[in-house]
Amino acid sequence: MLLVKMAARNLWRRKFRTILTVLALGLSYALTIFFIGLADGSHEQMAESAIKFDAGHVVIQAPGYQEKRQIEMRIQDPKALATKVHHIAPKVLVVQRIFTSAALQSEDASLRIDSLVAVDPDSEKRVSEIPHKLLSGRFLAPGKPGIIIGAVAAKRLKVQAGDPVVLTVSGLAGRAQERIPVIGVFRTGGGQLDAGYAMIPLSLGQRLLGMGQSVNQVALFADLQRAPSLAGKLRKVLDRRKFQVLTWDQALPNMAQFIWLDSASMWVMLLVIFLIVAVGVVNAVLMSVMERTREIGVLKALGMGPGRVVGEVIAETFLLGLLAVAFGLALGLLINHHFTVHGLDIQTIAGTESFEVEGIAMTGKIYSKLSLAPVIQTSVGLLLLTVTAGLYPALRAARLVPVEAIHRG
Amino acid sequence: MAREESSMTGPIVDLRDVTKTYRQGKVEVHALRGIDLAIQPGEFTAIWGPSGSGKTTLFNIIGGLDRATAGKVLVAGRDLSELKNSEMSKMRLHKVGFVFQAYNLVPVLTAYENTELVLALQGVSASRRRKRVLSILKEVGLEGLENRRPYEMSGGQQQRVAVARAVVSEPDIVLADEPTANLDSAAGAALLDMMQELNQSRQTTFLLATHDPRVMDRSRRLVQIVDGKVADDKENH
Repeated sequence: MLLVKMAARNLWRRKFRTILTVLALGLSYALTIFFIGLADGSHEQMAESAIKFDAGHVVIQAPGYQEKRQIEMRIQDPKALATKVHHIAPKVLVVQRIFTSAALQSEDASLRIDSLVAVDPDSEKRVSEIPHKLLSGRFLAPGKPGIIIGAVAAKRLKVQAGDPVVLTVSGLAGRAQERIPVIGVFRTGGGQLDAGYAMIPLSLGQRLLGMGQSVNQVALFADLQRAPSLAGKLRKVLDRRKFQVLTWDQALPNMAQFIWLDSASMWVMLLVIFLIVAVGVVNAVLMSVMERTREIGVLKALGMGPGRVVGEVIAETFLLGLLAVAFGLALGLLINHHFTVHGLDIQTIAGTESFEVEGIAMTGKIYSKLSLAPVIQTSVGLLLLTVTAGLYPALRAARLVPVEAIHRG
Repeated sequence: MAREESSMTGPIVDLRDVTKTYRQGKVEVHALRGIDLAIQPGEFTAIWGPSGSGKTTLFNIIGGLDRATAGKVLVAGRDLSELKNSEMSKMRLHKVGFVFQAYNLVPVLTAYENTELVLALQGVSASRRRKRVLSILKEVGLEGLENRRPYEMSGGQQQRVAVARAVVSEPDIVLADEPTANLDSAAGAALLDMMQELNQSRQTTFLLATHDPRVMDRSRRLVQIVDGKVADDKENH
């Protein structure tokens, strides 16, 4: 305890230097908390956006469908599957989808739709972003034929809501065609989606494609964090020969990889910042040790062993790190809270109203989201880094020869 | 408080033909040239001589802060040449007390904490430390000043704390290197009175390096060092 007292008081001997070091370290840490919150928030927003278009928090498909995307790879009885799912997770929202491609023809032009999705309107509108992105018209209604297309597709086809188009698909029963109205035009801001994504009612899709009651995908919506555990439970009860259960990151590997790379590059950047600041810590502690050469010499003369000398210097460094973590955490949480509530305008970050990630347009604001795990990990990491930074000065102090140190000082 | 009877029957310090040579650049300096010296328990002895005579080198060797080039150095019955650095450190902690010319108190610790430092390093419990520290601070005349930091005390007071620190763990010997050099005559005299009192009441062995006539006057034995050799060794009446 006496050594800890000494360590604490030694920090305060050079107030300005201690405050400066704590500020540098603490501000870096506050920045870290801010970046982590913003990154995690934006990643979650990206993931949720992508999930809503193509997947779910958990996705159930026929084995092999994820790789081959062949329409004949189907789930035969999605309603029975939904019942089984609700036995395990009653509050989960179940959404059924068919994926295919199509050709659209208007009076003036024709266009290929890379991603035609047949959906159950009532459940889909609870998860989809399309209803909120409509420029004109309305969303799909059950049992009423129609198509929703993107603004770029509408422009190319020279159609607007209410105009007829001919939809041509290739399904299990061969080629099928139907004249249907454009009932809504949306704009997401993402070029790929606005040009090549369209929705039709599930009943229309099943009829045109000869699917009967089957679908390609049963998507489950709960939340991102619970997805792995939900998937695990489902894998235990569902027949693996008929069903493949995937979490969202398995269903959307490109998005997952992008998020991983984005996170990794952020962590690398933060590590570099911390290492630079750690050099400052080494310098500060080394200066403190050198200023106390004589004092350390006396302590060693009195019988303080090298281990205790190291212990005292490390205690100082640890306390320095603790102060920095406390300050940085308080400031970081404050900043993070602001951006959790108010968000950060994408225009401010990207210089444009929106930016695309894996075909998904991010618009509006990014909201911070900070969870406990990274806060604990970074706090501990910073403390360890600080203590490590103190090792060199500590070992230097421990190696001082008492009689030389006393006379040198 | 009377010191417990030492288990030692022989001298506290026994130096036999001790030499110390070190290099200063290309020059070899013979700091000690065959010192024979024995210090008995309870002595109050002054080692005196001109600057550069080897007094400090002798002190450093006796205190285990330096090693002799040749000869035997026995302190509290242990041959220091056989000790590793870690054992030497432990020997200093338990057997030797130091009083330095420049006081060398830890600036961030109070008088109480400076005094208890050695006991804390020895692993003495807090309650026992408290009892001993308060007792010794009273003995050295610093009762009421326990919470003062060194910068809040006079030179004389600081040196008293240094003596308290040296004595509180009841070492076999206290080595005081020029203890009065930075003190005025009154403070120096008061310090010497106190150290003599401790020597008599606790039977603590004091070895003082000095060229201060006041210290020499108070010492019961005078050992003169000149050019690294014992030039004279006599009882002081």
